Amino acid sequence: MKLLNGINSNKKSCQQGISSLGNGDLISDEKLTALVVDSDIICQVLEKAILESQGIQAQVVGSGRDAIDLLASGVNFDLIIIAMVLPIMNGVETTRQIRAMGIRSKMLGVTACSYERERRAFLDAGVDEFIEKPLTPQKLASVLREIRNA
Amino acid sequence: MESTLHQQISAMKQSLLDEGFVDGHFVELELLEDGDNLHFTEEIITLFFTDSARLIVDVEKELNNDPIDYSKVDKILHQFKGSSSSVGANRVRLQGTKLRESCKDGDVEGWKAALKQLKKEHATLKEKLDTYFQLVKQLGSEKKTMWHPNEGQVDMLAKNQLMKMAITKDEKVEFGHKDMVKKGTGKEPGKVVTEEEAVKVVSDEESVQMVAK
Repeated sequence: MKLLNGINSNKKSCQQGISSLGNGDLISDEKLTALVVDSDIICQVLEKAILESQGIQAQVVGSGRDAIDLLASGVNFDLIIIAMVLPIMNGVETTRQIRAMGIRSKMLGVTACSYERERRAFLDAGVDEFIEKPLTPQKLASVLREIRNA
Repeated sequence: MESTLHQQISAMKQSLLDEGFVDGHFVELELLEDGDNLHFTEEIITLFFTDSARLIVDVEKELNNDPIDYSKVDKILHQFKGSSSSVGANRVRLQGTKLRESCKDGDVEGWKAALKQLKKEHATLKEKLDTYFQLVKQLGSEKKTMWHPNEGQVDMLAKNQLMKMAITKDEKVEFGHKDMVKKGTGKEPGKVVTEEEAVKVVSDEESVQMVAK
């Protein structure tokens, strides 16, 4: 199944710096990068596909521990999308630890059920924004705009 | 000109939406199909049914325990909600929510009924989407390339093939360029062009501009 190898619609054009609008114009060589931290395979696949459809290079891990290890190894991401419910160490605690490492990437917290107390806890831990699943290109748009304008 | 099969697929999708089996997120999956993976929707839906069937089994197992660990059940159903909403499985998601609420209330008769209905909704959706994707596959195998000059309507498969080849060869491809179509295929614009002929056109030593769709 190709899904887990990555799905994209404009990946090649973005890699080669060719505008996906098809007018042949060159776009910036700089690709945005994103880390998806989610243990649910459906969400992993979908979020990666949505990110890649927006020309973003995405990597996926299934736990908070894996996310921390990856970031600690020196890999940087422009955007981290992190689920609230994760095995062993939840999204809130993972976010706290990521921020404590000094990582200033844009962080987007996602959850299937957005109760106010969960939202508050996630924001207090350090995510910049919080959305209810599923992630959609529309929900992602404003986040990407902020990153690109930064 | 839309084929009968195409109309059938559109009608079926609309019916699935109207009856609440799926919602807009299902349609958004299809918008992610392009280039390297034209079967993304079917593949993620297949993955969903495999994964969600497992979750339903896990929930039932937990609910048959004595005593029931409702926090475990809640965690499973939380995940279930996330994945079902992600693929637009609307009725399944709603029924999962009902089950979760019954469990939270400790309503044994309630969750028994909700679990039974969840399994039914899950099976019904699977059956409907299996039929849907069979039709989609059938359409895919019947497709030819239609080249419409200046209208930009090109069969997705051929368009993607051309884009791939164009990008690989660092060329640019124009859809609907009358002279190029006629030169490459010998056919007048508006006539059916096969994928093989489309590939041949790009292979020729000629560069034209990509037209945005």
